Amino acid sequence: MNKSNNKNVLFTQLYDEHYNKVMRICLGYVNGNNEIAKDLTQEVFIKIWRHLDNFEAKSKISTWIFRIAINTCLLYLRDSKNIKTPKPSSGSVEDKIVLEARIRKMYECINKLDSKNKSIILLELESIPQKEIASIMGMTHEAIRVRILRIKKTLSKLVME
Amino acid sequence: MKSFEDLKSNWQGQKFENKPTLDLSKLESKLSHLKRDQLIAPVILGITIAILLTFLFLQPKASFELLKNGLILMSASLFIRILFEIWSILETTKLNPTLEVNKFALSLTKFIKTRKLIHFMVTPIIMAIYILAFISLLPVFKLNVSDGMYQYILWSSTIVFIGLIIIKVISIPKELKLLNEMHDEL
Repeated sequence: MNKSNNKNVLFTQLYDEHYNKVMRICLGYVNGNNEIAKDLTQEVFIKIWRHLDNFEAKSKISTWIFRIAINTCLLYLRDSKNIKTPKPSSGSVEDKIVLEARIRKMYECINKLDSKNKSIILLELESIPQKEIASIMGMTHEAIRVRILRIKKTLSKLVME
Repeated sequence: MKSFEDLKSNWQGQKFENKPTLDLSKLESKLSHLKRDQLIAPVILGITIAILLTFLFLQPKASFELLKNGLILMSASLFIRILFEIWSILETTKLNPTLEVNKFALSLTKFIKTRKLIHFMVTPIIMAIYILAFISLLPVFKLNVSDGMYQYILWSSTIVFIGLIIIKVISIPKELKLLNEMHDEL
């Protein structure tokens, strides 16, 4: 198998494994707007494809991918303003409506955080280990631990209100 | 912290069934499109300069003398704008998305700071020079073109200038918002 084929296989594997996670991070950044999140996710994977040859395995590949995702969202913020939360889909069954409402509320609450805290909590929501979050953000493990504790409390309180 | 664990489980329950199919050839073509799109603004500005200068050099000697200062000034201001556009493209390419978020945010802040300087200082000066140079040409147009053509030049340019100023005024607060947000965090 040649180098180009190897890249294609690796990329397809990364796409399948990380699509949902990257999409959820992007959704968190754009207040749950599905269309914008899809475009952003596509942009993230374009960047992954573009830089894949330069990945040096100094960190886990997932760490590298989440860095690209967060940085792409950060860059996107430069061109965006007041992204509206989409309306819930109609005709859902009762428990689905409750779940949708809770997730919508989460988007709204996450959107109230500054972009650094937003990035940290979106990674925590994906169950990424705190040590890896620290490596993604370029912060110490301790600083991340303290922040997460604080944001968790705030977020839980806000969503459950 | 049980409630947060509930939120986490709700959050991770979001699955996206309509995941777009991966088409690597489309990805490659999108990459080259993106590169091409970045060049649109400098190319348009470059074509405008070429039109202005061609128009100038096609004039008989008498008109050439009357028009040269204004048209050269207009072209020069556009040329300076092109240089800034190219700088902006090069700097955007340098923003490495694989960096740690803190380092990326720092380079993004630096980039936006310079953009702020361009928005507040350079662009207004360039626009003012361009508009003043255009105004200086109006008496020449009035004498040399029909009244209808003169009115067309006058009003269409006024609308374009006002439009450009509005676009600039709207775009500045967006960048400032992020810049301020990042400053608070770094």
